[in-house]
Amino acid sequence: MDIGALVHAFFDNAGPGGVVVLLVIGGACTIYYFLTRWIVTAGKDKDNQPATTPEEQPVSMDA
Amino acid sequence: MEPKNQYTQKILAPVRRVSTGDYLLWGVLLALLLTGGAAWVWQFIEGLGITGMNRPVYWGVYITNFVFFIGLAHSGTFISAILRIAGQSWRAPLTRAAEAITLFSLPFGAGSIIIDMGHPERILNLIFYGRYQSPIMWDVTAVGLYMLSSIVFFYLSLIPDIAMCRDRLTDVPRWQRRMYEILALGWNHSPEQYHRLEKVLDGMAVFMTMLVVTVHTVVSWLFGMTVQPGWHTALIGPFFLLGAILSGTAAVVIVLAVLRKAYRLEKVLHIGLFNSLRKLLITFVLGWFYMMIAEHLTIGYSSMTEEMVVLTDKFSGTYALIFWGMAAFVFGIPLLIFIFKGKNNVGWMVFASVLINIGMWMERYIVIIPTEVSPRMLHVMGQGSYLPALPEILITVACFAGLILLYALFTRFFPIVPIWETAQELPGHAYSKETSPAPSPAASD
Amino acid sequence: MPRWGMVIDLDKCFACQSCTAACRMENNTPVAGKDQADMGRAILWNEVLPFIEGEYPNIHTTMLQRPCMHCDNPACIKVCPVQATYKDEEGIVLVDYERCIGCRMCTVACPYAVRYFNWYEPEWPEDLKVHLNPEPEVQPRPKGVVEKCTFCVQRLRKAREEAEAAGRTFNATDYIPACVQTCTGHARYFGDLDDPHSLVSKLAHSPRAYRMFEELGTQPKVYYLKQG
Repeated sequence: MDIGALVHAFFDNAGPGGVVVLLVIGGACTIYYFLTRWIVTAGKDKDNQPATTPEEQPVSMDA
Repeated sequence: MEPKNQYTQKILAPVRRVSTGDYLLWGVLLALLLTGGAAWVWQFIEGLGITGMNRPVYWGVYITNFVFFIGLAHSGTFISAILRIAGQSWRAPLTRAAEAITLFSLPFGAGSIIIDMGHPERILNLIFYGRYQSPIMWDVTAVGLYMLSSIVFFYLSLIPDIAMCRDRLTDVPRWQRRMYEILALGWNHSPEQYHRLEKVLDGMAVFMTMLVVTVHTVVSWLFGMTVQPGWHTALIGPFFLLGAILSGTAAVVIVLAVLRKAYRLEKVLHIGLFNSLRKLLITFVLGWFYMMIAEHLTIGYSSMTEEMVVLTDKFSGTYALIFWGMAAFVFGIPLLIFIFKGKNNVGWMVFASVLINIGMWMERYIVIIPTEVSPRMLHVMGQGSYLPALPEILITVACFAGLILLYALFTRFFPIVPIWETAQELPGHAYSKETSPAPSPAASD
Repeated sequence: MPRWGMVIDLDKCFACQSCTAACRMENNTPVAGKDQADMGRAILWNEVLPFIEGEYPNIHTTMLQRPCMHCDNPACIKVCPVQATYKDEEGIVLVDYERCIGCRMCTVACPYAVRYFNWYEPEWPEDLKVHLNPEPEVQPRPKGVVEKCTFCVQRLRKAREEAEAAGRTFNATDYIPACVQTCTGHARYFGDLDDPHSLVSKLAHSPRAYRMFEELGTQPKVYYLKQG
């Protein structure tokens, strides 16, 4: 497995460079998307419910 | 629930009203932008021959603009990312204004390259046939990643304030309210959200700092990786990087002063900020001077023939006026102003910063053109010459107009000072680490 | 595989410029016109350049013929982002006009200034137009792409085809670029540098032989035989 030849082939030929650009930009987009989602969905399904007004409070069923 | 900031009303005030003056400004800028666009269409149809470029000056004003605008972009990242990591909390009011420069100058930097191409419609060849041995491919990767990351960093920092616009600005047009709703991504100011946001921004700040160093170094290597005298120097990476941070920081001063006056934000964008930037600028100007000495002394001392041709051309030849003008505009005059006149004086700071940016544009020109004008084959080819033609001038003006237009538009729809980052209190138990110090009484204006 | 190279004897050249003219007719380089030429935009794949040293009356003049050096380690190929310029197996540096994006990085990277750019769509006066060379390799290039000397690579293809058609083996001496063929003073030689028996190989090892900017490491394949 001639590493030198592989590296040379990567740099010298047309094509692999484009793949690198796509991988880098595409990878970054993916990471940023998931990061954004992680930030914005913080505490959505935990106990940080916004305060409710009296009308919104669940009506008691026993009375 | 939302961050408690004594200046919220003041910061949101510009967003509430669009004046006739604004429409006039936008109209003029748009006209300039479209004129440049028309010039480019003409160039696309006729060929690059309508510019002043020739053999051997194959790269001219467009590449100068490319380097200059990418350099300007470093302002934002420097203020938001690098100063953030350094724990400089005074920078908080500036971050968005500085990052907006980054966001809106990058497209014109990258755009300048596309404008310079002989076959812009073949730009996808860079993806299909991209060859990583070429510095241009390193550039595509670095600048592309930088642009993407800047947009994300900018947007993430903006979300809490968009949410505040969504909740507070009830008297704006419907489409604008809808825009805030969509862009706020359901932000509800929960402490956990702020906690996560801060963490991600901290991480991205480190990443962006690495990107800043990479991007402008890689841009310089477009020149540094050739064998041409004046370009092939190991110092070109650090030289360009420092120049970029210098011109970027000076741009921040200019923008800050304009925002202060235009939107009456004197209390929030207080004079202390200018004083801090002044110290930074003195450091950068001195650093730039050090690089210039190192570069030119090394070349001049060894007296290598082809290098001396380019050097003498800059010192005492065709480009002497531009070269020494640049030295005065970037170093000589601003340093004197900063030291003797700049403290607590916005006017002088702006004047010096404008000079710096004009000088830095000249510096990019001086790096690029003289080397091309005196190629190695000079002894048989004779010296070249270059005079920018009308299309190049129109397109350059259009780039600046476009940058200002995007910036001005932005400030009318979003708060230019980050309300949540300058808040005295953030939701929950989290106190903002980034509260700006209260303006000192002595620094009133 | 042959490694094509050129030797130019500066003692024999008297700057008649037939090589430049022949090259233009063979390769369909466009006519720039006076204004464009004054701007420095004339496209001359082969140029004859005067090198004048000293002060009058002690002047020493060299006439330097400058085709593309077809370097073995070319500065231009290194920097092309789409491999529109490439070196084929026989050492000839070529340009793919369909792929070139016109970024001109190769033109600024070449230390010998052998590369040219089509600033406009190419044009010829009518009487020259009828004499355009019909070979496919030298079809007029569109505006916005880079071009340069190709060692008349179309002649290589033709020589190989003719040899095959005639049923004989192809000889390196069958392939002659236009400039070499036309040279009035017989100052130019062309052939396979890797063939120890070829004329170019022997001349390249002559004590008078030198290459331009050898210290740059580009390994050009055009050798000059020193004057005097």
